[in-house]
Amino acid sequence: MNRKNVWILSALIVLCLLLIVPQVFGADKASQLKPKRLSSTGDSMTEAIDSELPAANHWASWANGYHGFWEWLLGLTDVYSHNERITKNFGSSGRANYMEAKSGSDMFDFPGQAAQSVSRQASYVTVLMGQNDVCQNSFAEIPTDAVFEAKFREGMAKLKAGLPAGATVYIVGIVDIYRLWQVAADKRALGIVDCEVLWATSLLKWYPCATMLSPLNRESDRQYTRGRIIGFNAILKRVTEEYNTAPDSRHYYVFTDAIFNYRFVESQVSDIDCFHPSASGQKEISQVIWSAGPFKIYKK
Amino acid sequence: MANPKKARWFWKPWMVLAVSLALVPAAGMAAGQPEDEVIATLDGKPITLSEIEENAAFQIYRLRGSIYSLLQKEALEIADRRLLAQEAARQGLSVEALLEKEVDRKVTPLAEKDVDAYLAEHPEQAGKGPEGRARLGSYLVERARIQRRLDYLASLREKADYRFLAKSPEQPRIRVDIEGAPWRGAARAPVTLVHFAHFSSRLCAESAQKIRLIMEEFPGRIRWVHRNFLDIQDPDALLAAEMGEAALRQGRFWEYHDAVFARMGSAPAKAIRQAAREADLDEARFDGEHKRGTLLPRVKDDIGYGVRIGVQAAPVIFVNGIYFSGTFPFDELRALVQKEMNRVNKDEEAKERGDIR
Repeated sequence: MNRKNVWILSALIVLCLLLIVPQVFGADKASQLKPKRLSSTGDSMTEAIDSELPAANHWASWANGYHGFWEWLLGLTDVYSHNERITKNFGSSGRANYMEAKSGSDMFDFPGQAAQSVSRQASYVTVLMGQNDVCQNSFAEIPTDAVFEAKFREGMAKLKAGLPAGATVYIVGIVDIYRLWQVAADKRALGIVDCEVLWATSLLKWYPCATMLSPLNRESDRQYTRGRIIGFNAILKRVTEEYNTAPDSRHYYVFTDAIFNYRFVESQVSDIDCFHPSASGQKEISQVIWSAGPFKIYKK
Repeated sequence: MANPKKARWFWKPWMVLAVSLALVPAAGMAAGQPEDEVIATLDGKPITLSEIEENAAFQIYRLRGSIYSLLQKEALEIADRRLLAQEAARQGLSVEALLEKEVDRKVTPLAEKDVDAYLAEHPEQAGKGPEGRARLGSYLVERARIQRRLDYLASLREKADYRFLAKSPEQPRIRVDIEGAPWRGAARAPVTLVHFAHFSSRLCAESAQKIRLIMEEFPGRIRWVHRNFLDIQDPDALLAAEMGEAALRQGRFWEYHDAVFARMGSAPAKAIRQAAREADLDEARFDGEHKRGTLLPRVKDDIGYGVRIGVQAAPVIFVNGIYFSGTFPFDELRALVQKEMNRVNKDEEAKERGDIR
């Protein structure tokens, strides 16, 4: 081999090493995108059902809420949602605010909603899902850990494959609906509203949650359901951590169980259905989740 | 609890708030201050608690109620933890070992016949195949363990002397403005019921029925006032409320009220028109007023006023200013009305005796 060929061969080896080494030892992570394109996946909690007026109250959603002229004129609550916080902290240019969340959705719907988030090319995806997995007509209908995890992974895989580099996925642990049930008992004790009447006349028909709200439940039944929430939250946390440690250099994954641990008080639960967070509850959820989240240093 | 450390961290600010709010009245009394506490001053002149409560009494009551219930739950959790620790120390075990001994080991293992017995009791849950049966099995095992733990804690509590000493907050009495609102019954009745309701709600129709029964039971002793409270984005509820305002202007409000509530909350636009005809309303006049938007302001005023005094969802009945949800049973409403009548009677007797001026 002549001297020239040795040089060419050496240069090729160096080039190959430059291309291969970062992938073997972990490339620099894609820089995190500003969360200007928000897409929320979830259920009635994110749709803010019954938070202020009967039905969906999108202006009062912790994730996508807004407070424009009409909301101001009608005296509706400004929940200072993640959508509003993003505009305040990062400016309004290039903003997009998509709600994929739909009442009644459970983890089986997550892959579909995740696909929607991908189609939006979202830079910030929120996931607050799982309430309807534990809210069932009967205890035997609550999915097993394996089924719940498989559906969550399916959705996460879609996000990983399709979101733009630098996007953030924020997974929020399931709300402690046992506490919401307890608050309903407080409402009755304070003479504010008879929640069992509301559940019997409306809520159980539209958003069945007999596993927590049925008047036939024993305390051990309700605590069993709470135990399933704790189990599902452990899965959400473990899988999120796994995504963070796996060699996905393109995206950011964050988990919080701050809302599970949050002590809702009476005024933070809807008087309309005694179950969903009220507008004041949505405001608190927004604050608690933001403060535990990937953009918490942005405090405006 | 999933994460006790975190839970404690979350409840610290609440402790501070709870203790501060709980101490405010006590501190006031200790210092011999009158009940009407000065909350702020403007140019040296006081703004008192009673002034604030004119608008916000019910909201303050709700907050105090939240604090009371939070203290109740947390105190019980602390008591349970201490009881477990004491019992564990008595037996020379760790808490985990105590629970293992007293709870986990004492749970009877699940047999197939237990699943069969559950399915016989809940036939609607049968037919979900072997997978459903397995899930049911897991539920029954876990529930038995939880039940055993609850029973064990209850037995420890029974042996101890646990007392919760905080006082529950009292329902405030609000001065509800009824100026210009439609009313019926006796003008100088001892009990006034202000019904915040809307015509396209079954719950409101039911609470109106409860008031009607009260009126029948106590003739001449009740005044019934109606105020609107509805979702302004609900077109049927809004149309029904505007028709009510038109009926008031035409002097036929209660005829319309009864006709529309007879439909028990099922009041789409067609049914509202039908109720208006039954009440003999001038529909052409309504159409004109509706088109000009002159009926809307009073409806909006009612909603805004309701929100200010603490109404979040209809139906609500203020019984001489005391908040009462229309969802509660008739007997509870009757008891409150009776209590108010007795109170007013006592006050009147005292006035006659000259005890009260």
